[in-house]
Amino acid sequence: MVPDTDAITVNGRAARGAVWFIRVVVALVWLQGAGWKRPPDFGESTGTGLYRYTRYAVEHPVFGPWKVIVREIVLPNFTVFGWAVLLLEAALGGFLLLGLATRFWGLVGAAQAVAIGLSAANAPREFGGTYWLLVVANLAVFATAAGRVGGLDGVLRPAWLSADRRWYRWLVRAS
Amino acid sequence: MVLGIASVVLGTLGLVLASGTGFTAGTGAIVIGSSDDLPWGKIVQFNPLGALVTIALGALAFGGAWKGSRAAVLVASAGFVACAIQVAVQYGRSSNVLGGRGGNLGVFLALGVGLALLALTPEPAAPGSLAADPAISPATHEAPTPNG
Repeated sequence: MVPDTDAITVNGRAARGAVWFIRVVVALVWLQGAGWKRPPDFGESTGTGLYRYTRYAVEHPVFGPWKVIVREIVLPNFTVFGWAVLLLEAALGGFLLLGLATRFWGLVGAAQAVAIGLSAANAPREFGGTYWLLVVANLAVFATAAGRVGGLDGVLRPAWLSADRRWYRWLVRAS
Repeated sequence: MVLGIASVVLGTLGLVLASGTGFTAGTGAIVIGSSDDLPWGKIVQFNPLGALVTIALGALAFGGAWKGSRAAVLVASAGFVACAIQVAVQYGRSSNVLGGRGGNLGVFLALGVGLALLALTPEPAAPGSLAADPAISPATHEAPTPNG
């Protein structure tokens, strides 16, 4: 077996329960988020849904360069962007719920939360702190390797460590 | 086995809650959550057909794990991936035969990939090596040795 050079310490039953709880709640938030991104036009024809939230980046900008990116790249290709968001958030929710490749998905989730925050944090009736809390929650999932507690990472990681295959090496890093 | 049981429970809940919807209604009944105003609102939903398919695939995964049949688990895995593809293709259209939404897509996809990895990943090479992995072993997870 390859020595595990990336062991994570979570002491005590209560702490492990908290790590599991954080992962599951973050997963449910992403699954819920994926649920209201409705193809095929993602609200573009009615100015609702994902389209409305994406336009917030232009109408109520948080960060100037992000406004330009959304206006010049995202909105003109909105259907492609909508599909990417739906698939990404669905995958985030599903894989975090099962605790599979959790550290990888924690980082992806943090990046996605930053993107959402840069779009919607200054929008009317939005509490910007929500998005930054979502960033922090996803980083906590990454930092604690939360899939090793009550997740598939914990079940499969010993086998990934014991076999010298490229895919397994990636999964070890991702878990 | 746990994933199979969870799928059967989820599908059974879906079947009970979707009893009032059409067998292949495009918008199924909400199984987890009730409102978009809540963090857990509207996570997964099923029509009766979607619920029955989930139950069947969950039972197949459970039976495969119980009998040690990797092939059965792989078939269940492929079934869940097919369900994920169905949601991706038909969600938002009237012909959404399993009645799912974006949350179903994520759950089906993760179940498909997770079951495939469980079926295809060989046992750790050395006997007792599970306990030797300080990253996951319950005992050593609490008190790991330096550097694992």
